[in-house]
Amino acid sequence: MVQYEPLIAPFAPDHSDLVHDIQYDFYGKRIATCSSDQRVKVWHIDSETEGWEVADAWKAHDCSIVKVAWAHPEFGSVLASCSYDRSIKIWEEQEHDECPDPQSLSLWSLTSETQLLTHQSPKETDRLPITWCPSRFHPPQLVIATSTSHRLFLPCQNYRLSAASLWMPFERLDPHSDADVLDVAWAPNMGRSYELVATGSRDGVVRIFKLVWIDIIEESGVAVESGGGKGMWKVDLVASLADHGAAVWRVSWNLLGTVLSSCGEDGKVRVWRAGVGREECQWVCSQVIGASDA
Amino acid sequence: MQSYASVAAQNTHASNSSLSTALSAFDDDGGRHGFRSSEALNVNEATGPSGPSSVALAPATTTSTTTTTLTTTTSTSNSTSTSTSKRTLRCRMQSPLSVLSASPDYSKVLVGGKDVLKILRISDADVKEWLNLRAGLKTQLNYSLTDAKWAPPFAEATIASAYLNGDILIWDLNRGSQKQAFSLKDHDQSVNRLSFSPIERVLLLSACQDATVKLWDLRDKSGPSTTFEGRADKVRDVQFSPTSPYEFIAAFENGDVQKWDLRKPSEPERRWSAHFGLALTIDWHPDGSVFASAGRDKVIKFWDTKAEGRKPFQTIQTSSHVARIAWRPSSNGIPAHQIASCSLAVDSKLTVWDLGRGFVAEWAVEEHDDPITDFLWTDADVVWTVSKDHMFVRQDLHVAGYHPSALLSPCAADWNQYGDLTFSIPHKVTTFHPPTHPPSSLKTKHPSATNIHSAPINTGSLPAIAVRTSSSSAQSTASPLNQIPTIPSPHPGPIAQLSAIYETESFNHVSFIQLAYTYKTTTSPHPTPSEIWDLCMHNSEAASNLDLPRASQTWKFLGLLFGTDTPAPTTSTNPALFKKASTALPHSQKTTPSQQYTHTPPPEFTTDPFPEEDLDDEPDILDSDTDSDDDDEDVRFNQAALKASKRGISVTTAGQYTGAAWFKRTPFTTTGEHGFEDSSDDEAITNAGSSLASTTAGGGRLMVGLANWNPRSTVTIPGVIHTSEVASIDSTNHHVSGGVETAVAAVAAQEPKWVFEGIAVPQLDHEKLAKDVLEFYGELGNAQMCCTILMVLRGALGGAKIDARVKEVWVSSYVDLLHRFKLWTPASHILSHCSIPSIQSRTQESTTFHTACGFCSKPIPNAPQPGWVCERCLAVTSTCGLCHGPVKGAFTWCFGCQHGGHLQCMAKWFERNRECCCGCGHVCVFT
Repeated sequence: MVQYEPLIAPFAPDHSDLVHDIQYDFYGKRIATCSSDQRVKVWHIDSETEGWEVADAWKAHDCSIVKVAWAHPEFGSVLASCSYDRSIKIWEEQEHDECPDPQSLSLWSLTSETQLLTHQSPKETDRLPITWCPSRFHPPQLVIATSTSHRLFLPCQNYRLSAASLWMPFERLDPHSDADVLDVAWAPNMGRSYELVATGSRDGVVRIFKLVWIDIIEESGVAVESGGGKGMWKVDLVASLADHGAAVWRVSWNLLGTVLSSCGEDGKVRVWRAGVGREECQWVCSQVIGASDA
Repeated sequence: MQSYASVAAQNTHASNSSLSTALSAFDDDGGRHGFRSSEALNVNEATGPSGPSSVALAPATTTSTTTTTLTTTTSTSNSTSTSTSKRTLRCRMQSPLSVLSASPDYSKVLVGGKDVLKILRISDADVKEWLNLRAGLKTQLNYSLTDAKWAPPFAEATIASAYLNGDILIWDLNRGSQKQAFSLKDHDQSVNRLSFSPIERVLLLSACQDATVKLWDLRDKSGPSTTFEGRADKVRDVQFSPTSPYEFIAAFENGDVQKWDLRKPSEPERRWSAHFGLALTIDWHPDGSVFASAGRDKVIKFWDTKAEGRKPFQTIQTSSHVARIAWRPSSNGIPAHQIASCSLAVDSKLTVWDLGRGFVAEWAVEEHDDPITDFLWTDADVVWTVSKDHMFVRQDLHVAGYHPSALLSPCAADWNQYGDLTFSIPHKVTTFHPPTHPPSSLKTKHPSATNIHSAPINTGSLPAIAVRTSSSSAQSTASPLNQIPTIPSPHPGPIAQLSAIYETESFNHVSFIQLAYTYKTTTSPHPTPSEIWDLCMHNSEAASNLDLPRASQTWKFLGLLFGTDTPAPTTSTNPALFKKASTALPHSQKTTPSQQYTHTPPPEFTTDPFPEEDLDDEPDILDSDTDSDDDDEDVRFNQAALKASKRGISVTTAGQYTGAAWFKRTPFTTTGEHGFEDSSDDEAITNAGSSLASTTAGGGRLMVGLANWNPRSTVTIPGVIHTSEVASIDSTNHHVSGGVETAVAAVAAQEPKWVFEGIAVPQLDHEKLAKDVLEFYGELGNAQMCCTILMVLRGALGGAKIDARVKEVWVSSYVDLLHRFKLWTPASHILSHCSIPSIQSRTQESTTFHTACGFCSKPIPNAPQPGWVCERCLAVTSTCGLCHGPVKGAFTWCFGCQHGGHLQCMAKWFERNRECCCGCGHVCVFT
């Protein structure tokens, strides 16, 4: 078997503090980074050097920026950022002075509000990692992890948009652990018969949940309406991967939903793949990336 | 924390020596563990003198637990501090509070609000109201309190309070019931701040809305001894120097900060344009040469009074307007290097910043529900605060506080469709470079203080990135890498980040893009078998050219299944004739098929056709390269094929294994034990039922005969060697999962050519097999394969019960991927030709044409006459160059001369002419 030399290309975000999020755009040709230095940077590949160069960088918020997200290109070149300054900002790239339809971006209204925590005023220490179900063939749904300093909740829960456009809690993703969940990621699905959701938590364990949709059929033979979808998730914890041994802050799937990467406080990136040979897939670490000790 | 506490409890019962061993063990582990051990000790002490109640009482026990577990970086000063953590104390007043000043011995505290002025007595256990200064006052206080200060030591019975009308009252606590001593009147606008001189205790400064600062000598009640006019704006803050009896600084609403000398009242000694907008607060560093200022611009700036220049030597970006700042006292003799701030509005936290980190706070305490209005430090860890929420709170950072940095992810990562993983991961930096520009003053005074000031850019050695695969370790270096400024020395482990892009080959985008163009699909809803055959062979070839044997074989497999006519009757005796094209056969041997192919399957095969020998143990499949992908997928595919075959036939008895198909092939030298040799020229095979699979007798090689062969055709399939991949399963010992490849490789080397002359026709459930294939690729996330198969087979899939929603997922996932690679043409082709209505309808949505008149350049609205007449200039927008009629449909033109017209006209013209029909002389080129 040919051993491929893994390729590591340089990428220097050059922020003045920690980088908290990195996001490729839809075409994979641009990168947005955000940092505690209150700046968002957009990178593109320089045609001459073929390296990543800053296309734009600006002070976006008054506090640590923890997330950035690109919109689908059908909405233009649009980027959202959220920060501990309690604001979400939507940015649109303007190559020309004219803005095609400014209204479409500036008018955002709250469509729904759901109480997740038991106490009224959320504290800064409440972490709520959140992930959308990327499939357009399920009703809109999320998995939200609630920080477990509020023990009344299990860490992860599936929320679905009900017919009355309310977000209702449904199945729980029980990790059999009370550690804080720091990140949660719903895998893209290109035609698998089941869904995968990965979590990274403070106890250093990467967990993978398998969600199988089961249609609920009433006796009359009509499917039961439950939270916008006719059925329920059968949730199984299929993997608990404790290799990091330190808080796992980021889990992310590749675009096919077949490879998972996790980053931990141990300063390592681990790449996980489903081992094959069994009906139940087994997840195994295929790569460990980190600073070499040498 | 509880676990540590229990450790400590055990240690108290143990001997001293064992305790010290435990501690030394902790110390060996490094700074972080050193902190833990000290925590354990602290708990110990807490339970010691004041009894267990001091732990149990703490209302913030849960918070402290969380905080401790959250803690990743903690100032080492804690580990040596011997003070016990103080529990949080609260006292509620009747109205919002805005003023706070402690008695010099910190046993009492003066709190005030608009209509409150009280003294509270504070002990370790509780806080109680001690004196209401407003009670029993003869003169009515009609104006709101703006500030109040307790005088420094040696004048500790004196309190000064300031009011909105400009009055300053001096109180003497040694007097009887009536504490008010006298008032100082000279300001006629609000007094914003008072400041006692820490050295000359009778001197008081007042900062006023009337743009002046006045100096009062409390012995002289007649009036201010000096008035300082800053000529700037309203004065918001003033503070005497902690070290010099003559110096003070003042902050102005226009953003100015000025430093004055009492001996030179005519003009300020220095002035800085410090802030954009209001400068609201200032605080001297205890060393008296450095001070900090902050204001509405949300920035805390640090100034060195001894340094030239107009720039601060450090800034900290806070998240809201800064109302007050105060240096955190330090322990261990390290100069203060942290500063606390509270916000003017919105934010009810007290935030403690470290000079080494300009964006992320070191500590935060959120004990109030409304913004904190004033606060002071009583020691390095304890803060007293008052807030608009009526509360006075005493809090200990280690009990009530948390580290905001611990809430922030030190990691980030994302994948793109090319399989690149960009990441930032924490990286502990062990090497430091000394700070570059420490302020001269501090440098001379406190040699140990050099690292507190500038945020040194860590230029420690660039770390290499190691990627360790499970089987081997490969190293590769990336540089330059991101470095963040190091956090100064009190932090145990400064965290930097390591960022790079890891180019995995988890997705073979080159093949994907190639195949997007080369794969052929059909548009007819019910393609004929021959059409399917052609498409499958084309696609197989396309995949094969890209070295994708599995895809290639799948296409052949599908071609065999669907690309042939209706199966012939299966009961007849079929001449299944496979003639080998190559003549070189080492040695031939005639056997009857029943002998050759009949065998009793080994028990493990019957019980479990999917061997559980996990390939996980093999490092190869974990590798991200394409080859290994193919390998493990191949194995799975074999299983799928086997599964399929299992459905087609029941693999139970030997009799059913009578070979349906006869393969004549070169010996499998590499498969070892039982060479697979058979030759039966023109030997007829009795097809014993619907047998699909045939296995070799001993070699454990199961040949899944895929052929539903059309006797009419004699097809030569080059490279059928890969059949073994598609259709062979080692049924006895599964080690040959690798063996399969070896066999394939070996056969590939021999390049046999097969001639199929005729074949027995097994009855197969085509749809089921196709469905299995589709689902197999679906599980792999190979939407390209799924979608293309769907679009090749179309109606032929007929009875296969595939959920319409799943089909939709395959097609839309594929289209989405194509879009991500900007492969618009293949994507549009699929969108417009796929048979799924919901997907097709996407082409009808959100596609907009904007039309403009070629003469007046004005847009032409679509309705009611789309496109060809401009209503503004009443002209036909485009006329044909040949017939001069309006072009209402497709307008074709030459890119060279821009002339053109109706497609038919142009076609007609250029059948006979080469030059433009408009007479411009251009030799037009139409593509």
